[in-house]
Amino acid sequence: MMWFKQLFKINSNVIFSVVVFLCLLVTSTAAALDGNEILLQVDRNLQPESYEMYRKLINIEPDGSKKEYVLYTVKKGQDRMVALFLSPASEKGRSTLRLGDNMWLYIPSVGKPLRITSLQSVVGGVFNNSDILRLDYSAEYDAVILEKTADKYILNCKAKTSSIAYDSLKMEVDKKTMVPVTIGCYAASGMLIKTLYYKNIKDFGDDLLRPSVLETDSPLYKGYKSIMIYARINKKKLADEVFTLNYLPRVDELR
Amino acid sequence: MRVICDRTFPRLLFLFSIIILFFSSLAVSAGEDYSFDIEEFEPKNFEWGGYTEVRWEHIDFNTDGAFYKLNQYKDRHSTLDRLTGTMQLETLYKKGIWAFNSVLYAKASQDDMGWSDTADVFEAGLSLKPAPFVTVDLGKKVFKWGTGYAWNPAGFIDRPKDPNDPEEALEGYIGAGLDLIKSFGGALQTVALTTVVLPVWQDINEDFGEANNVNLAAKLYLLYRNTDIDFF
Repeated sequence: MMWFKQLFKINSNVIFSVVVFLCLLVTSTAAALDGNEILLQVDRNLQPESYEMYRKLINIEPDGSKKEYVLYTVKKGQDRMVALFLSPASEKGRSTLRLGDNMWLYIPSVGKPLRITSLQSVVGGVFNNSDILRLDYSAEYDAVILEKTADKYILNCKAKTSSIAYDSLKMEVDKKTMVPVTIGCYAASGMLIKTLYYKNIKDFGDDLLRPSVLETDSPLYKGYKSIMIYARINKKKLADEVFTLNYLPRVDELR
Repeated sequence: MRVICDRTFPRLLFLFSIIILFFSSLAVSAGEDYSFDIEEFEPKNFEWGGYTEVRWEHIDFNTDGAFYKLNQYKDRHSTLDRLTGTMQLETLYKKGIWAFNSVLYAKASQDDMGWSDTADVFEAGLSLKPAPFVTVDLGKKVFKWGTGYAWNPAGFIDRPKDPNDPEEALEGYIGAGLDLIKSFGGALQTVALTTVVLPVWQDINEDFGEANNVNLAAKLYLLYRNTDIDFF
């Protein structure tokens, strides 16, 4: 029996050492995340790669008056997205399509989709078209870690091309949930264009725990504020043909 | 004592105001409404909508203009007052891959030259959508070809738009259409082919073209190197 006890003791020591080694490996891997890997995790924690989503967009003017829009959105892969207006009645049926850097606005009564740019806004307010049809951050930006605090990563994200709406982002990422808390959006001159605030973490199901509210304000629009409220985000398989101009009159059929 | 009272009262009032403002700002921030009930936006099989409009217009004519002399050679008015009422009703019924939509339009106007009214079925048609890349349409439909917002030189199978109101609904033509879409991953991102058959028979599309004739139209759309290309 002695030899058995000896063998058990040796095996226990080996197993303990292996477990300690694996724990150290995992910890060191997590600690060694670089900026781009953090950005990838942020993207996956904010939304699946292909999904459908309902959200309400509220524009608040300095006098307190509000204008609300409800959008149904679908996204596939890194650079394809469609948003359909469900409300108000005057905007119902309008839709916007994004394919990489290309954006179009479809107005049912006009028929032919019109080209729009990322810095324009189809709804007015502080959110522009690139905020409303936002692709994955990792698809548009390269990130480096500026600073690490006890509970946050602070990333500097530089646009991969000059056609992207913001030249750089300063993103604060919560270490625990790995989702953004605030994002400062800057022009190439270094001027702050707007600040995005992610709030109210909510469980959307299917292991998606993310902020349900996105607020923004801008020194360029003093007194104005825009809010996006997310209500439902589901994984969804979508055909490539959904992201074409000819499909825009039919987007409502995806719901 | 009286002096003290005079100073104390404004101070108290100021303090009270500050407290009121503080708590009211708290109430505002606490009252930020982030609720969003999507139940009312769930898709429905049947939807309807529309609008009614009453419009009064006063027009001053350029009596020296060529168009005035051409258009107003019978009744020469220097001004025109017009009251117009318009009503439009849109319905959509969806069931599986089938959808039926209709647009009914009625308009009546009274001006210095008299009364006029009209009521039409602008659209009434079936759509069959078995897959995202194919759509078959049958019935009366506005095809909305052409790239212009107010003026459509390539809108070959649509009625001309009113440049003063380009988003106003137009009456469609009776026909059949087939729409095919294909997406690719390279420089050529999208190819879409739309073909339409428009017959001209008695009481059907009589104002479109030659009688007892079947007209064919096709449109090819390409998204190539981020450029929209249309062939009609």
